[in-house]
Amino acid sequence: MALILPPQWFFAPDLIIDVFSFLLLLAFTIISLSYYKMSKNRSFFYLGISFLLICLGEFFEIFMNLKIYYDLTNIFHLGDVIIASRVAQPLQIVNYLGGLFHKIFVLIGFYFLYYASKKENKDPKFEKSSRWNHLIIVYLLVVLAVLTANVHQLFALTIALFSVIIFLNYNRVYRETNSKKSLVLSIAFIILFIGYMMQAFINNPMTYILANLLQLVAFIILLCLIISIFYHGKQLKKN
Amino acid sequence: MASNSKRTRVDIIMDMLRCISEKNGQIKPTHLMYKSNLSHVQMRGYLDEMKSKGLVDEIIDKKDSKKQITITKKGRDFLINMMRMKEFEKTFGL
Repeated sequence: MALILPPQWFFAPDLIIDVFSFLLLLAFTIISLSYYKMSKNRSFFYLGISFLLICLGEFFEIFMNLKIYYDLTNIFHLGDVIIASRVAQPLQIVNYLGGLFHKIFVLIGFYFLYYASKKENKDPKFEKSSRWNHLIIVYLLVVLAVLTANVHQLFALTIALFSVIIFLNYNRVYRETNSKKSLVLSIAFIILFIGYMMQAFINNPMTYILANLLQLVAFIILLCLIISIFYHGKQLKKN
Repeated sequence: MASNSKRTRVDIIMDMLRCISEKNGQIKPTHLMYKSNLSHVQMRGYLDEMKSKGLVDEIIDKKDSKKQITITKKGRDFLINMMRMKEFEKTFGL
């Protein structure tokens, strides 16, 4: 399948969105793993690992985009005639490897995010029996990523599927606890779901831009969520 | 106070620290015992642990010469971190 490139004016905003997502995911990783260290609750560990994996996936996307945009920007200065011959080879290799690692990390990351949001994983027996399941599912996700390295739609559809299940799980948490923050969290995932569904079924540069903007909105919601959680103890600090 | 029927050790320590904090950082041991739903023996055990970790201090009030429990800076920071962690845990349904 052909590589979908956004218009040149969107190169810089695209990179900014990726870097912002990377930093936010890194913050979530550090917070989750530090809470795991404090409480020894394994759910924090799974959450931290999932954010770390998606963060690594984001890192490969940044690397891939930087390379693509650097090459294309250079070539655009030379004129349209050279584009076809210069772009093809370096882009294919970088795009394949960067895209492959991006897909592997994001797929496994979303799987663990889905697992951390499940209610059943709080049962120690369930947690112990699911270790082999993790291994098989991770293996299958790597196979999926390798076999569909050039088919972005299938990757987007899988992430959309994970996102909608995670949305349903967090929505259940909201209904059970009546926590507004859980509702906000679930909204972030439904926005991600819409973005990935658009990427899965509509294949043009404008969809790419819109999907990226939706991703930005979802991550801004997550940033607001983390700020509100940290604000939670601030009033006590004032006393 | 934690609404679960069975509180963990950390939940109890958090509840005790919150009770002290809500009383402007200083509380009588009897009040703390009632407010945190503990027996005298249980409360003493927790207080000894919290004192050894530097979360609370015991002082003598100059007004009535009675013992008072005060929360330290470390105790306050610990409480803030725990509250944030609990909120994070609740949000993500962990």
